[in-house]
Amino acid sequence: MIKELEYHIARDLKGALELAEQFGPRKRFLSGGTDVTVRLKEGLVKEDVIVDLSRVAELRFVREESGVVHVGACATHADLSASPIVRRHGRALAMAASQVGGPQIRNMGTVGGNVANASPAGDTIPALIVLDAVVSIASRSGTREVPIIDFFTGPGRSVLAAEELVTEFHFPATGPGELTGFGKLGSRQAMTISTANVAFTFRIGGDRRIVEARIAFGSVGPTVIRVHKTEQLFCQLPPLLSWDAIRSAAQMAWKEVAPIDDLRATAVYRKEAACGLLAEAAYEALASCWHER
Amino acid sequence: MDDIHFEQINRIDAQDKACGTTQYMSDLSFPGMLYAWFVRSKYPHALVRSIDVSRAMALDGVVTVLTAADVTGFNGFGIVDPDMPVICGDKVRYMGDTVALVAATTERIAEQAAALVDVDYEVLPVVDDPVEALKPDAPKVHDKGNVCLHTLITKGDVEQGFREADVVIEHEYRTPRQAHTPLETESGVAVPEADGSLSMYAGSQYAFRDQLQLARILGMNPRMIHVTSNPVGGGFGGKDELTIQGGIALLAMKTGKPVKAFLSREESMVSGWKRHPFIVRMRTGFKSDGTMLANDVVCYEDKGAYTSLGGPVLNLALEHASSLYRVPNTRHEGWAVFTNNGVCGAFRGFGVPQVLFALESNIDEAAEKLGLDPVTIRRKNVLHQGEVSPIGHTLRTSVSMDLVLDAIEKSNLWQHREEYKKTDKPWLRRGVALALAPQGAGLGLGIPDYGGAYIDLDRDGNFTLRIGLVEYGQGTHTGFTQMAAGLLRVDPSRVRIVAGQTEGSVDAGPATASRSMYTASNAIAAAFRNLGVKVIDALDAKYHTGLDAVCEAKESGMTTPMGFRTYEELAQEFAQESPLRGEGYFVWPTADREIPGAAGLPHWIYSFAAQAALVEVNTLTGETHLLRVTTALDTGHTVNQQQVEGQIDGGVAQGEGFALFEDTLIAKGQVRTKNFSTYIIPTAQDVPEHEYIILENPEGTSALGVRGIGEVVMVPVIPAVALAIHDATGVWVRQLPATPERVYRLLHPMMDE
Repeated sequence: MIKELEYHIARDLKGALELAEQFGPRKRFLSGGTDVTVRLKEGLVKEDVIVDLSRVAELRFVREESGVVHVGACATHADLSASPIVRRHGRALAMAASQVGGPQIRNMGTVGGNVANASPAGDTIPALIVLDAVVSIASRSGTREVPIIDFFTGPGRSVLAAEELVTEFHFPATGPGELTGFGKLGSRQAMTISTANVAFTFRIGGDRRIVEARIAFGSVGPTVIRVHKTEQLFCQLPPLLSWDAIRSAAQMAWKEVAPIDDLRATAVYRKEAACGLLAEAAYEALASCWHER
Repeated sequence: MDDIHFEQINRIDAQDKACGTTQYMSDLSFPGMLYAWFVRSKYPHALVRSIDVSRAMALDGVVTVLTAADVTGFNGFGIVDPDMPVICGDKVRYMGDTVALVAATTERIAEQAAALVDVDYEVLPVVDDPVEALKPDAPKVHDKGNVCLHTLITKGDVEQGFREADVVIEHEYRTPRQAHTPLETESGVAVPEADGSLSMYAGSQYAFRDQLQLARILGMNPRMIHVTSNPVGGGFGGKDELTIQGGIALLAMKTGKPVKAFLSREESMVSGWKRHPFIVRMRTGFKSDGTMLANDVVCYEDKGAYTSLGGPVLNLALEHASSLYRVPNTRHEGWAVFTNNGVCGAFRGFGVPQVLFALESNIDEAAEKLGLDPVTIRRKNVLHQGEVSPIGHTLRTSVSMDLVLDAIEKSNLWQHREEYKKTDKPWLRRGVALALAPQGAGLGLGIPDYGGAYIDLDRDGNFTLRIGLVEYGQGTHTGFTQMAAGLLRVDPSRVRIVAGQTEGSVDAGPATASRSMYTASNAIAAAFRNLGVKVIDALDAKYHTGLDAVCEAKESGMTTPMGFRTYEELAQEFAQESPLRGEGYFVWPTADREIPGAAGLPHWIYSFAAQAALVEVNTLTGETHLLRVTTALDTGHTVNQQQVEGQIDGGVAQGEGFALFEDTLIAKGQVRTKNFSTYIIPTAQDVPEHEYIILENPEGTSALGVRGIGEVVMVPVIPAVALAIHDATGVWVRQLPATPERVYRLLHPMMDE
């Protein structure tokens, strides 16, 4: 049974921040509602005030300004997967957004909600991490910026204070020579919570070697995590497409992830499959860049 | 009637369903209607010491709260053995058991009141493993013990067969607790009428049996209970047995108000019927040329808490445990065992998918060991009409095992399988496999399998077809319309159907067991013949034209002793005061003797299909994608091609779910997969490309040559998927569903070490 709640609709950012300050920890933001309504039904929402952000139009945007991509917190997954800017300059994010849930969820769910929920399984999070995104946070008393890798403090927990709201994400536009990608392992082809997911950015140098790698995994730890040893190994890959070499580099992730058993999969399987998922996604991306050159 | 033409029409219910205007029973509401809440058990296995409803009764808006003492008639239901209480008085046996019923003015108040019912339980140990439950010291789910049914069928001497065998394959297989997942969960409205009768509006697969079960529960004359159970928002066997009807009937009679229940998905998953999980231990012996010599099978059926149709499911599984292959020595043994793992009942396929997964796997493994291809080994063993089945009865009706096998062999997928298996990704492997299935149709021996239909010539010269069989999505009502229109030689738009109502339609048995189209073909044909007799009678009464003539349908009318008459003319003359009614009754042909020790066996009419599957396995993650399925299906005589293809599409998706995704996980009696985020069914992104091969080997005992196909279309695809995984990767899948982690563990057996 869904408990009785007080429901406030924010009309603009200013109104949202006022409501946030007024209700503080008693309130829960609802943007697309794709997570909150499910949790309400399951009795997992402890707050008794809902602040609805779905009409805050000023937070729903995607734009590029001087080499920086800005994504509003209320941009939906459908917005991101369809955006030419995100597809060109942050492909991993477009790929991740296009694999969230199904069409109905992508039309409603927002990137701000996906991140602020702080689920270790959130699909857009590893993508934002490997794009080096920064989270813009606002409150009535001002704004601050937090690198997304520092945003999460545990499963379902973040640095966000009760009166604060995520307003946007921004990251440097990826350019030529940068490969980004995303891979997801679930229980079926759509409408599935990630058993594991992975995103990566590879910067390719003049000699076609990977000179910088950022790799982040979701659903295999208490938060989404970077795997630095694996990144180093990817930087040592020979500049030609070798499945065995990629597979072997990806296998290092086994040491760097810390999954648990749940209904979807066991920890030991998640470790193994996460490595495979990275190998597969990296191979696909590198094949497009290294093949027949 | 051989030249009967079935006009290919769109589904008669398509537009209303697509537009959302169809009124399902769960859409109904009535003035003053109350809402029911089922107070479910807190424990999977416990004694009920006492129940105090005073706090719940005190809540504003609560009209009544019922406990076991308030059941006016017999407090139990069940198609075979009514051992499931409507309201539990002294003991609960699963989490879906009802301990009290609330009726309140709103659903919210009813739910709040349910939480205020105080029940004092004495918790008992949970029985959750059917093999453990057979041990003498296991806690008992029922006083009578944990054995719901034990069946043993033997033919020949299996040990002798194994001694002569060159290869013996022996394995244990496990199958999932599949959920029916109809879009419309268990729901309905019970309406007390002014004359003291009760109207029950609840989607179910057999209104006439619901009527009898409700009469027993209420202690009322069945004539005082009117059931409407059509249309149904999906059934698949899960609405064959009663669900919520007993509870809302009691509440309605007690309060004198209409009472509605509409279960949430979560409550449906916990309380509703499921497919019985099986453990199948199967040992199969072959000669070096592939000839089958012996099959020794033991099945453990996880019955869950109550009997329902667990016995017939077990027996149909045992009937099919050696399929329709020529196996001279068989020993088929089965145990249906009570546990606290929910409740299991009828489900499309009815035990057959469980055993054929094991059998078809053993056959492919033998073929591989013997260097035979999968078609050759099966062709060597398939039975033909007139031969003796593996359980010892002679197959008197048509047998199409070779027909569907030949067709699947010639299919595009099988012929070009090596090309389909190519992939350029180093981590992907593709495989193709095939499997065959017969599916016994109808209720079997010993249970009168009856069907009636009326064709009414109405005042306006159009027709009303009255038949009990419900439409729950199969497309049967479109088929019935085509059959009646084809016989009458009228446009199908001139036939309307009244179905699934104890008032106004005729008992034609349950919409189960692949029996609707076949039963209807004979009942409708008999009603059509009888309508001709009624015309002769009417003409003779008025014009003394004699009783010897036979009417023959011609374009929109009939030839009569007085020449051709259109139906309008006949109606004008004979159907103005009441319809001119053709009544048709039909009883299924059955075997003349029962298989010893196996109630209900053998079945007499079969469906046949062969399916081939192309899968792609990701060796890094164990994910398996079903890419393509070819179905070779014998319809006997296709009534509606589009609906046949629709049944194949749906059957393949449900078979795919069984093979790859679906399982109601229960741990210590608690359901872990209560909704669609954890109970995984295939989405539109998961279902394969289809190739249909429709064959027509008429079933001679149907007036129109038809046979049912609703179940068999989901069966062979299950072993075919498992065997295609083997073809792709070399590993044998012994437990379904083949989830990514299960397949991964098979591919990487050292993972845990």
